[in-house]
Amino acid sequence: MGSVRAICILLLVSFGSAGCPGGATMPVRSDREAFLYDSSVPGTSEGCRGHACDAGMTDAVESVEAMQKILSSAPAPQSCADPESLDFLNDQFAGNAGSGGDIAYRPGAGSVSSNGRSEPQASWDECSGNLRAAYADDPRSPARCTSRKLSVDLAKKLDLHLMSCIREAAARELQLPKGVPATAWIGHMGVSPDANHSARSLHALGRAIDLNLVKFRHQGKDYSFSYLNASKAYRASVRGGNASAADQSAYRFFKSIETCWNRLSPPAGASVNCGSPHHDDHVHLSVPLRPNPGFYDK
Amino acid sequence: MVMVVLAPRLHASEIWAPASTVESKVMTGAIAGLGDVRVRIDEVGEPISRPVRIQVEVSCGEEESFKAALQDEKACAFRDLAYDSKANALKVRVGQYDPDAARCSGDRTVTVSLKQACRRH
Repeated sequence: MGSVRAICILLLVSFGSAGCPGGATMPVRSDREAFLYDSSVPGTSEGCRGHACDAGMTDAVESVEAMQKILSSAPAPQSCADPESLDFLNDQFAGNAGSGGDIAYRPGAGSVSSNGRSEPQASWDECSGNLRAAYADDPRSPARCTSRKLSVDLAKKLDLHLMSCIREAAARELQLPKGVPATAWIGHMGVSPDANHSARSLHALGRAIDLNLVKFRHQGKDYSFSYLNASKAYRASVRGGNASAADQSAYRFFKSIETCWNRLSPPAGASVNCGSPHHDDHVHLSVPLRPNPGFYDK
Repeated sequence: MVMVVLAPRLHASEIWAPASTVESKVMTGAIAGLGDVRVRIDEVGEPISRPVRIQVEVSCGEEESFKAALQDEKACAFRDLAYDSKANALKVRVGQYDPDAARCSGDRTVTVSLKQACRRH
């Protein structure tokens, strides 16, 4: 290629021979250990592994007080009903096509398999129902609803409880009356992963959704809660800084949703949030498997 | 532009980890006219739209130390990279998740200027 010639530089050891057209394969240096256990990086040591070693996780572990500080600045919480007693919230909005609650879904959409388990799927019409949705990887970009496959169990749980959890969060954070909002819209970062990733994640079975945005309207006023704001509040608290009121509000709002969702999945709960590695832009809501046949707990 | 490449896609069976654990791959090589390049790929699993973290470091010619050029780019796969000598920039091609097909089937390119990391010699 003249003076600008192709040079193959990159090669994964684990994949054997390199695709280096006309060129020699380059040696690959495995610096993993140096990366993961670099003693010069605070929070890394042989005593912890992977993400638990990075600075973010160290901060997360030490930030319980910071989180409590955000939560304690919330308005006085109202009584928190048990999941069973929240059912009346669903009853008044029953009757969506294909479901008995807040989302529109139909079982019988085939099945997916991962890690030796086959999981029946439902088809979720994100564009219908009291709780509508769309994939919104970037919550600042327009999102388009569609028909999406997910586990029947996740569909049921979303159908029966997520809208109730949103109402509960709205009541706590905004002091809205119980039973409102009547409808809401959520943005998410997907349900099912690429087959090359996350084989043991509950996502692989369609049993988890990465929630990052909640919007609704009540008495003509629009409300929007983005997990990016919640994460900002969390990071600010970890660093000992001040978060904006809006960011703190978003944090409390999503925390309320999690608290509600986790009550449905005792004893370990079913959410993973910005206090955990790689969940700084979404909250992972799942339907755990009990017992767990080789999948993640949440 | 200097063509550079190519790393095969990651496969879950070989590089996979729960979100609470890192599995990393580090690739090193050299680009003519630039220096050594080191790419680190962490498979973290979350969010499912962007389960991989990509970091690129360059050594900038005769300098021995690596300097960060791209930090924690979230994507669903690392495809390859190329060096644009005229712009003194790396073009890092990564995967783009298709939520409707649940596949990492698209591509996007991240342009990383090296003007700060690597001053022209």
